[in-house]
Amino acid sequence: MKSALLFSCAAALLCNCIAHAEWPNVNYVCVAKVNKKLTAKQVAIHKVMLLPAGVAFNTIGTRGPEGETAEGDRLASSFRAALAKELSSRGVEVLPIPPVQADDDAARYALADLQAKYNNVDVQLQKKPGRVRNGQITLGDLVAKFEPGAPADALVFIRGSAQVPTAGRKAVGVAVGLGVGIWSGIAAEFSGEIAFVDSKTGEVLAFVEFQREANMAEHTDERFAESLSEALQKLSFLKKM
Amino acid sequence: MRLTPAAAVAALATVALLPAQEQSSFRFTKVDLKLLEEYEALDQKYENCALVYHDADLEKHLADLAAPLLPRAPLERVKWQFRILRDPMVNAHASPNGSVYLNTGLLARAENDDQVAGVLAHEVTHVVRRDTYIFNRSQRKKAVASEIISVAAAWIPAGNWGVAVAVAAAANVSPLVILDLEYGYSREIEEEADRIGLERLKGAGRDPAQLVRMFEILDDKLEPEPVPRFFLDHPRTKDRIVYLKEAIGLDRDVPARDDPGYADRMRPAILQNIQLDLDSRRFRSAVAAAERLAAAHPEDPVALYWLGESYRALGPREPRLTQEQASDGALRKGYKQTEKRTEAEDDKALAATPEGRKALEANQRKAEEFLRQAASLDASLSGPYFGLGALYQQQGKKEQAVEAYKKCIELSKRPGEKGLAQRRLEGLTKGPQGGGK
Repeated sequence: MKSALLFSCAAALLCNCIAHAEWPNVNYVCVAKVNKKLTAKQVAIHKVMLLPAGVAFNTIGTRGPEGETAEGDRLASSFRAALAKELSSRGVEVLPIPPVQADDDAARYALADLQAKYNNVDVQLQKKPGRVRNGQITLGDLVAKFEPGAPADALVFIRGSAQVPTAGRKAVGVAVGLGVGIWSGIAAEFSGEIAFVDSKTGEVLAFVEFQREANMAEHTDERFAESLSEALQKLSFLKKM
Repeated sequence: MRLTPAAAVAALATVALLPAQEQSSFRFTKVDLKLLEEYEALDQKYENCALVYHDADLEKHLADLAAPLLPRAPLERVKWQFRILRDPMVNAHASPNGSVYLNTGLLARAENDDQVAGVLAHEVTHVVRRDTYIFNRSQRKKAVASEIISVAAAWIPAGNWGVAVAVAAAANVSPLVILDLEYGYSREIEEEADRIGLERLKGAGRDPAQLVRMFEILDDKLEPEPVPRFFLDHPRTKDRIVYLKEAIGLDRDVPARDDPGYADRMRPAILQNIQLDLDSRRFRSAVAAAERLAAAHPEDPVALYWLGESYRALGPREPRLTQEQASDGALRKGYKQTEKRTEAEDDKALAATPEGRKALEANQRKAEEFLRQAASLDASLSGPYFGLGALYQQQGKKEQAVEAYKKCIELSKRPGEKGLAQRRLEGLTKGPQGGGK
C-alpha cells in the first residue's frame, strides 16, 4: 500500500517535471527545392516582395486545441520580419508592398486572391514538392496580373503553423507515454514554409519547408533567425554574403 | 405555396416566443466568452484579409431580407450583421455574435430571394438558439472530441484545395470553429434549426418550399468536393430535403424558380464569384454562373466574356458531372485526384482520353464564340482579346494568337494584363513559349 502510494507520487512528480521541462530545440529542414531555371541561371532573384505571412497558432490543452489569433498574428509578423532580414543579409533586396487605401476594394481583393491561390497550389506543393524543379507548380496568370508585384523578381509566400501544449496536456502526454509507450503532443512545434514565385510567370522558383521543436512564442526573433538561417542555406541561389 | 393569415400569425407568435424562452435560460460561461472572443477575432480576420465583399446595395438587400426573420427582443452579446464572404464554396455560416455570412458561391447558385431568406432563417435560428455555444460545450465534454479536433486540425496549415476560404482564414481560430464553418453542427441541432427556420420563413411571408429547393440545389454538386467521412452525426442534405418536405406537406420536388431580378441584383457578387471559381479550379461552377448571367442578358458583353473564359478554363472537362461522378465516393475520389494533380497535369491527363479530347474541342469552340461575341459587342474590352490570344496559343494557332495579343495590348488599360500579353507576344514571335492558361 505504502509502496503504491510512493510509486504514484513519484510518477506524478516525474510527469510534472517532464511537463514543465524545456524540450530540445531541434530544427529540421524538411524540404528545399529549386527550379531548374534558377540553378541554370535563366532567371535570377535580386528583388523580392514578401507578402503578408499567415501563421496558425494553437495551444493544445487536455480538451483539445484553442486558437490564439493575436499570438498567431504576432508570430506571422515576426516570421516575415526575420525573413526580410535574412534575405537582406544574403544580398536580396526586399521591396515594400505598396500601401493600399482602405476603400480600394479591388486592390485589397487582388492581394487576397493571390494568397488564396497560393493556399490552393500549396496542397500540390506539399504532396510532391519535387515538381518545383521542373517548373510544374505555378500560380498562373494571377501573379503577372498583380500589378504591385511587377518591380520584384519574385513574390514570397510565407506560411507557418505553431502548436504549443499546455502543462496539463504535456502531463497527460507523459502519463500516456509511460503507460503505452507512445509519446505525442508533449513538445511545442513550429513548421514554416517559404515559396519564391516568379512575378512574371507565376512559377514557383524555390520552396523550403522547415520544422522546429520549440515554442516560437518565446525568444521569437532569435529562434526565427536561427531557423531561417539554416533553412535558406539549403537554397543554392541564396548563399550568405 | 402561401400561408393563411391565421397560420402566419400563429407561426410568427411561435417564433417570437422561442427566443425569449431560450434567451432567459442561457447563461454565459468562461468557455462561451472565450469562444465569442474567437468569433469576434474571426470577423476581424475576414475583414483584414479582404474576404468580405463590400457592396452597400447588396448588404442592405440582405439586411432587408433578414429583418422579418429576426426576433423582436435584442439578444445578449448579439449584434446582427449580414455580410457576403468572397468564398466560392456553396455555404453560409453564422457566428454566435450575430454576424451571418453568405458566401458568394451560395449567392451565385441561389435562384431567388426566398431561397436566400431560407438560408438566413436557418442561420438566424442558430444564433438565437445559441447553438454554437451549446455545441462547443458538448464537444469539449466528449471523449471523441479530441479525435474530431485532430482531424479538423489537419485542415488548418494552409487551407486545402477546395476547402472554403473561410476555413483557411480561420486557421488562427479554434479547430472547433472550423468544424462549425465546414460541417455545421450535430444532426439534432441542424434539424431543429431547419424546422424553426422554416417557421421563421413562413412567418415572414416567404415561400417555405424554396428552402427545400435550396437544399436540392446544394445536393446537386457541380464539383468534386470533400465529403466528410468522420462527422457522420451531421444530417445529409437528402435527409433534410425529406423532413422539410414532410413539414410543409410537399410530396414532389420543388421546380426551379429562377428570378431574373435576383440575378440582376446579385450580378456583382456572381461576377466576383466566377473569378473566384476560376482561381480555385471550380470551372463547372464558373460556366454555370456565367451561363445564367448571359441567359438573362444575351447582349451583355461582360457576361459573355466570362462565359468564354469559363469555357476556355473548363478545357477537357464536361460542363456537368455525370450521375456516376456525383456519387459520394466519386466526389471524394475526384477531389483527391485534384488535390494530387496540378491544373496542367489534370488538363493533360484528361485531354489524353477520347472523352477529354471531345470535351476540349467543344469547350474551345464555345470559348472562341463567346469571346468573339463579347469583343464585337464592346470594342473597348481588352479581356476578350487576351482570352482569345491564350486560346489560340493553346491550339497552336500562332498567327491568330499574335493578332489577338496585339489587340489586347492596344486596348488594355491594366498594366498587369498589358505586360503579360506583351511577354506572351514576345515569346510567340521570338520562339516557343509554354503556358497560355
